[in-house]
Amino acid sequence: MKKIISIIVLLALQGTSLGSNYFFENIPIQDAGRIKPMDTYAEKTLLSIYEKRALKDPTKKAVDWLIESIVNPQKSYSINVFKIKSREVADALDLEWRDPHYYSYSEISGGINRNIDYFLKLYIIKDDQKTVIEKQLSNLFSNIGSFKSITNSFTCLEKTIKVYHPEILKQLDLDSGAEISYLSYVYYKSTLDDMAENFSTSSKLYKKSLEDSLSLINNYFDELKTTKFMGDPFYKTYNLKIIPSTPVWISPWELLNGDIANITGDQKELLMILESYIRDFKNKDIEAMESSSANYLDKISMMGDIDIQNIKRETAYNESDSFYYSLVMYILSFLLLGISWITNSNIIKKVAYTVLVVGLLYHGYGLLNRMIIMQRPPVTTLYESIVFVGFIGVLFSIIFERFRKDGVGILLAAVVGSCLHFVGFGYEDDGETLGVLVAVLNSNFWLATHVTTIAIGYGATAVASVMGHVYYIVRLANTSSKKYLRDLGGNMVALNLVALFFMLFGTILGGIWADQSWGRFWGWDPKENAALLIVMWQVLIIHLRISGLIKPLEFAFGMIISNIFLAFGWFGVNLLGVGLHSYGFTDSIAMNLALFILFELWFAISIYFLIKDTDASRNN
Amino acid sequence: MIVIVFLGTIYQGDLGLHMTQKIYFSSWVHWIYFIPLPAGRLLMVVMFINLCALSLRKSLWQYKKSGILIVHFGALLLLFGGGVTAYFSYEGRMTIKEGNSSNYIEDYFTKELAIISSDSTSTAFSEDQLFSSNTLTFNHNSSSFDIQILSFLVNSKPIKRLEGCQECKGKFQSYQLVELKHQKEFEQNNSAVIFEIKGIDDVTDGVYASMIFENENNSIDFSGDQLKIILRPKRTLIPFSIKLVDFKEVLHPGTDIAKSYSSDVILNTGELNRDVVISMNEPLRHRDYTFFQAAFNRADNTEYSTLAVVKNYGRLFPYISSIVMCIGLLLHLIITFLSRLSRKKAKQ
Repeated sequence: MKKIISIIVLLALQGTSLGSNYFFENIPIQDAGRIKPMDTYAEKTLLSIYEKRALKDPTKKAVDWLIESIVNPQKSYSINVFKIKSREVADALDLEWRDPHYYSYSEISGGINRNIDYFLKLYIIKDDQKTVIEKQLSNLFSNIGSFKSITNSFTCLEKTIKVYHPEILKQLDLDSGAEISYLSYVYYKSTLDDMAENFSTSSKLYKKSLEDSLSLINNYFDELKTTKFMGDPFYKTYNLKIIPSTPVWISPWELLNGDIANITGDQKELLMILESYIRDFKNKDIEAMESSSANYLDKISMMGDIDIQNIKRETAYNESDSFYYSLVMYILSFLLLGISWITNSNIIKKVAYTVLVVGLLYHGYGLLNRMIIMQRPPVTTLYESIVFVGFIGVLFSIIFERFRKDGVGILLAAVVGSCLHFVGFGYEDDGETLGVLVAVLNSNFWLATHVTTIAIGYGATAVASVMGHVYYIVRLANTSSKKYLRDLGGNMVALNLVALFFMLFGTILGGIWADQSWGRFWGWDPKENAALLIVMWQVLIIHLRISGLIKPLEFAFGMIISNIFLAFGWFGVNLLGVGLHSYGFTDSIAMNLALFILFELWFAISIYFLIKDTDASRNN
Repeated sequence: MIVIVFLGTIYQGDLGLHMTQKIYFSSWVHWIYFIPLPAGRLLMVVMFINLCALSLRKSLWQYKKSGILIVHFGALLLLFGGGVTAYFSYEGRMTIKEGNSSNYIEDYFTKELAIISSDSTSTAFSEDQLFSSNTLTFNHNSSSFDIQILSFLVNSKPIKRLEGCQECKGKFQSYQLVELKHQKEFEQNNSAVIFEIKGIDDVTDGVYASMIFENENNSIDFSGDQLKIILRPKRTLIPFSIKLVDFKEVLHPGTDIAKSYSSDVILNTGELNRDVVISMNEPLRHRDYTFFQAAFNRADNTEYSTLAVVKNYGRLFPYISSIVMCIGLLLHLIITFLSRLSRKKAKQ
């Protein structure tokens, strides 16, 4: 028994995710309102152009792809990373529609340049006035532009021009053939200008050669700046903002473009470390890259309030894939439970239980990491609510299992946990899931009380509702004793009471928050109403049950219906597009939601009559 | 109630919050074609009476059920508080320009027709007086004239007047008004009133129109004074004033996402001045009024801050009732637990 458990735990701990190769993943960058590791930024960027978090062919971490693209742009331009979603888009760019639908930068930018006027006009039209294809074209255009801009980010740090003129070498104290970057050029500029003005020699020829050399250097860097920075329409947003500065962080190009007198010593040192990092990268000197990266992190952690530990934690969180493993555990536990019921083996059931708990630990570990990284309670977005409700659902089911010990709790946990994980993964692909908060939500106290309580209520409602399904199935199978059924009926009422408790207090707390920040306890906002609907439905079925007007079977029916109210309140009202709780408006889920509701209705009604039918025939 | 709340929620997508609230929640009966459906208010009163009636049942007054009883009493309080709020609360807003102060609240929905004389004293006729063919009399410097209301449009659109209009005066000569369906957001309605002035002189007498939020107001000469006639949100004076010193918006660095909004204000109660910061989730409470940071506006290099103002005698009810319900549930849990314990002991 213990052996099996330890094997499972070992399997779970052995992560298969790739490590990154270039020590670039922990470099902090400011993006979308917060400081995050390059790892998160790279995943987000790759997700928006490639629709996956890691490169499949060749298998590569997003951050490795990113730094390779930055250091060797020419090479990266021929890698097929841009996903084209429909044939029309490929046609518009004169590209062949091929499978898989990934295209390279060079291919697409060729097509865009041929129709550049069209794309520029398209880009300024508002999104809601575009057709689906126009939206895709416009997105592709901005993805191409932003990618180009990202790859330009460090061009000012690359040593790209060699200096040979002895006089310049002497003045700048360099060896013959030394390479300089735009960074060093900016600091040499005054010396160079000085030489052009004041250099005197008897030899006219020598002076001419010096002037030629100087203007060559000047022209070269002027052109570099124009093509790689000033001429780039997206540089403001997409040049990597990795240099700490006030009020906002800026990119190396932006820093060097300003007055060099304003560049602090720390900032300059960061640029120099990066410069050597890039040189090491080109020389494929892995050890030197590692030490440059460590130097960089040491330096930046001394520049004000940047919590490097937290940055590293986020990278580790990205790599850990805890929710993925937790899903694997839930499914495994579901399968094991099935086997245990078939073989009637108590040991396998215990294993299933253990696997479930391991899954829950993974789940909780992921949630905990998110809370520490963002310094806030676990639920702030629709995605986070799904993950958290799943956690709570599994937790309640496990507590339930502790009381019953017959596997029903494991079943509930596995169903609720894995279903919600699947829904969550659907939302994860919308972009980065660790976002900053809008003003009204920026209150840890209320997020921790109202939002968390409501989410617990959702979780308990989900478990209670799945319990209703289980009761139906047990009734239908009709193999269990009367006492067993009566027990299950009692458990349903208890679960429903727990759900009601959290829903009711979550809703009232929400009202109090509303009273505190908007001045009214209740405003008939859709989200408020939906929570009220759940509460009223639960109150209704509980009163009907207690007063004896309905029997456990009808009560189970009511619990299944409460799942519909839950889905309506959780996702449905967001589709109305009105109200104060306007987060996570999505069109794509409308269809899924409708299907879900129809399925639940069908299940609740048809199985009900089926059970009635079989009961009647049995009595005859 | 479930049906009403569900309908009221679904229809918010089409009708907007204000209308649905009026139709489904704040009314007594809702008609679906010819079928009467009890609406929010009636249902809540029925629930209230039901809960009161429940307390008459003797079987409930036992030690064992005291927790349950307290929970229901909490629900009763909540409903009662809802009633108090529905009938005795007042909501409005106060918009202040940076550097200026204000001592009145503007209503969200109700309008008034105000006549302002050159020394900025004003007389206002509230919206319920602005119905067709009602005649209002305005007294000023011991003389008077009549304003006859021709129509009041909740939402309208000015369009260019093609044919001349003999009796029209002021800007109304150049446009006419078309009535429109109400906007989803009630506050976006362009309300307008068309009225006729009688009894001054041939030059001034005629038909005028005032639209809400118009830049150029109607102005007339009357007994040696220049009067401005404007349609504006109904104003209510409060016994103190608030001066906006500075409005602050903090963004998440490098984005357009706001991290916080706040207004630095001075609360002026006659002799006493106090500095106050009003921010999201941190309202100012003074006497019966509460001021919340609600919105802001930037125009011509100055900032305007809008505070939502609420005067509500019922606002403590939810707090009390949630505490009562909490106590009730706890009590119920303890009682059930104790009785289980004693049953176990009895078994042993």
